[in-house]
Amino acid sequence: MKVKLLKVAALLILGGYLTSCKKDNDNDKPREYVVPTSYNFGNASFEETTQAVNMLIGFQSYLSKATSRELSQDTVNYLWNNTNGAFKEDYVSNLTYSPDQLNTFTGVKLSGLAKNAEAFKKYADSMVKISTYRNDVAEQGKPGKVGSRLVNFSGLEFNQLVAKGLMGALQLNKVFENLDKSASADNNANVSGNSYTAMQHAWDLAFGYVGIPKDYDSSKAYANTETSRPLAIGGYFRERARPIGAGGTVFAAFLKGRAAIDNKDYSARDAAITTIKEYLEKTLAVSAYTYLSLSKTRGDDAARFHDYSEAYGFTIALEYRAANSKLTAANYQKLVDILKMDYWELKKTENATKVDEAISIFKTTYGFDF
Amino acid sequence: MKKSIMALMGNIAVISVIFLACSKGSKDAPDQGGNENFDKTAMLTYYADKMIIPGYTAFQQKINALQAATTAFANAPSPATQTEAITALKTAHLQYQYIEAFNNLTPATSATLEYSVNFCGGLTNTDLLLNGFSVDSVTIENNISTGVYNLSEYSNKSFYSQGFPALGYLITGPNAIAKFTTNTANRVIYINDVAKRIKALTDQVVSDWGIYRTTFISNTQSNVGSPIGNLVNQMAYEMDVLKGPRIGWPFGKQSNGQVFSTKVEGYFTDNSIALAVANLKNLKLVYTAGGSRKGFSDYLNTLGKQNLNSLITSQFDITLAKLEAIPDPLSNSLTAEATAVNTAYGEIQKLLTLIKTDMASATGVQISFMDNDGD
Repeated sequence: MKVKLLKVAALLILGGYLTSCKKDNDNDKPREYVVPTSYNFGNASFEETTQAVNMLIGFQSYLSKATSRELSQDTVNYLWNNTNGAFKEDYVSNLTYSPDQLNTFTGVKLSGLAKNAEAFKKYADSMVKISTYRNDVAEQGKPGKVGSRLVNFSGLEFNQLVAKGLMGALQLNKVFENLDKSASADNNANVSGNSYTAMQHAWDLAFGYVGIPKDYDSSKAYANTETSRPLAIGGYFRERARPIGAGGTVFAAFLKGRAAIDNKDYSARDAAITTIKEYLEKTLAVSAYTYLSLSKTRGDDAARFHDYSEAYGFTIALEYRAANSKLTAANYQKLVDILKMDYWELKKTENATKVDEAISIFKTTYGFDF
Repeated sequence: MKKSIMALMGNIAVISVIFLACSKGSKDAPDQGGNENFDKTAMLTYYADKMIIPGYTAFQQKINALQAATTAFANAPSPATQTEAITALKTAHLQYQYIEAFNNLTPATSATLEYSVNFCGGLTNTDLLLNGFSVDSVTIENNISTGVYNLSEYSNKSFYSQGFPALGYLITGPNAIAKFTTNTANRVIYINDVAKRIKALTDQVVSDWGIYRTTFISNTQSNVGSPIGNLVNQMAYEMDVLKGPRIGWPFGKQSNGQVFSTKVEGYFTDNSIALAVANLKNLKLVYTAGGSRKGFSDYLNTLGKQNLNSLITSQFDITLAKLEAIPDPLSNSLTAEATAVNTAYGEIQKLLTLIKTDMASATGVQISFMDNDGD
């Protein structure tokens, strides 16, 4: 009899483990509520974040034209500050907003949204200069093309620092900022003139800056013609962060958190904040890690320098990680020191250990086992 | 009571197993069939000391001889010096097949050895004019007549006008000797520059292995970019090159049967099959580690994959036999011996699948050489 009881108890425990394992986090719930499967909360409003992410894509698309044309410094200035109707069909297509619409949203501008905006503007300006070398063949000390890639004198693609760096300085930073806001904002009264509370709205803005659609499906390979496709860091959930399952995890946490806020379940909200912060940072880290690993498989400099540039861009983005990040300041500095090297030098066999060191920092810090 | 405790313990054991499996999220983990018993450092040490370093060193010697023979031919072009140069070129090209399996490791990639010495054009067959093992004789002749060129330039045009294909064209292409009567000085300089560049890159790879050996043997992981990851990837890549640029493409497998006889490897030296056989023999050597019990075949056995191992081993032998059954020159056999070529192609495909799919998954290696970044 006792044996039987113990067995039953054991089986019950087993059952408990099984469900807890399927369901991620089981928090104490003050009351029952349903977490929806898409971000269709009635009073959610975050258009300006979608506009910002669309502008980010337009800006980086323009910079990437440098391989085939001389970029205009004026256009870069205008796009950056969203003045003079600079967004054009040519580099803004298949997005939620048309270029004409983006041009009218003058209150939204990358220069005002990005942290350390000056630094990123400089990278973009550098790309303008490099575009004049697009017909030259690059060598060490000489800008130009390596295969199809347009690089500076040291093999670096500046546009990668802009595109990937802003995933940290703009997206990650804005998401974190709004999550932090939502952790303490008022959730009792609606913001005057609106149907949402300050807490709900901050949460929605955080969601919007991630750049994924309301009905995001992490298992789907979105075509680049779909206007509501995941963008920038949201696009990297699939492009490079699949091994860590970042997309599904982040999206689920946003849904859970918003439902929790609606039901005043603040411990669930806080758990969601922790998850989102962790996985967004990890998305940047796993991308840098993957590119560095790939650089060790490349036979050609074009692909290898591109890998280095991507990894450097994602590393720059990681500067905007949370204060309690597992990535220490000392290790972060090591990564920067390695990736700011002249890539014609970094590719040499004698420097293989430097790339290995950077890979190992990512691997051990974040526990990547692939 | 004792019984009950035992039962409880048993259940806890079950629980913890489930719990572990679940918390680890066992994604692509390879079968852990006791591979702890396999000494991967010994495996890598074997490859470095018995195959890679001796392979590159032997290649360096053949390249020295090739450079000397090329210079002798350029200085006094005659049937006699030409024959010497052809022999040296064939010998060096043949030895190259014994190192190609290691050309995705850091010393060779940082020297861009493959691109500059034996460019196969990659695995995407898009450009109809120049692809596979083409020779860009137009650019070569243009480089000679203008005297303006940069062999370290990073473009397909440049890759297709240097290395073994260029030497083949310059030493034994149409009217190779007669062409030295016009623009002699420039032609001599060019052929010497091509040989010089092969030598410089080879010297760099040999000396770099002196620095790289320790790094290579000390990393026993199998993630993307690791030595084991790269070795398995390169085996799969070599099979893809055999299936594509070496045999399949010239045979017309990508062009509805339209044969491209001039795009075989070693077109001017008429030894394409000899080269392909040497390449595959070396691949088998990498796989078996020469029976040293330290190779991938033994690793698979330790992982409990004896069946796969014997399948791969016998498929190597079958493929080699079918490949050897094609007579050189391949440029001729593509049409004259189409059945033999087709048979070999079929066996190559089978071996490719075994290595690229089964062996890669058994060893927990991700095939990453097709990872072309789009943005």
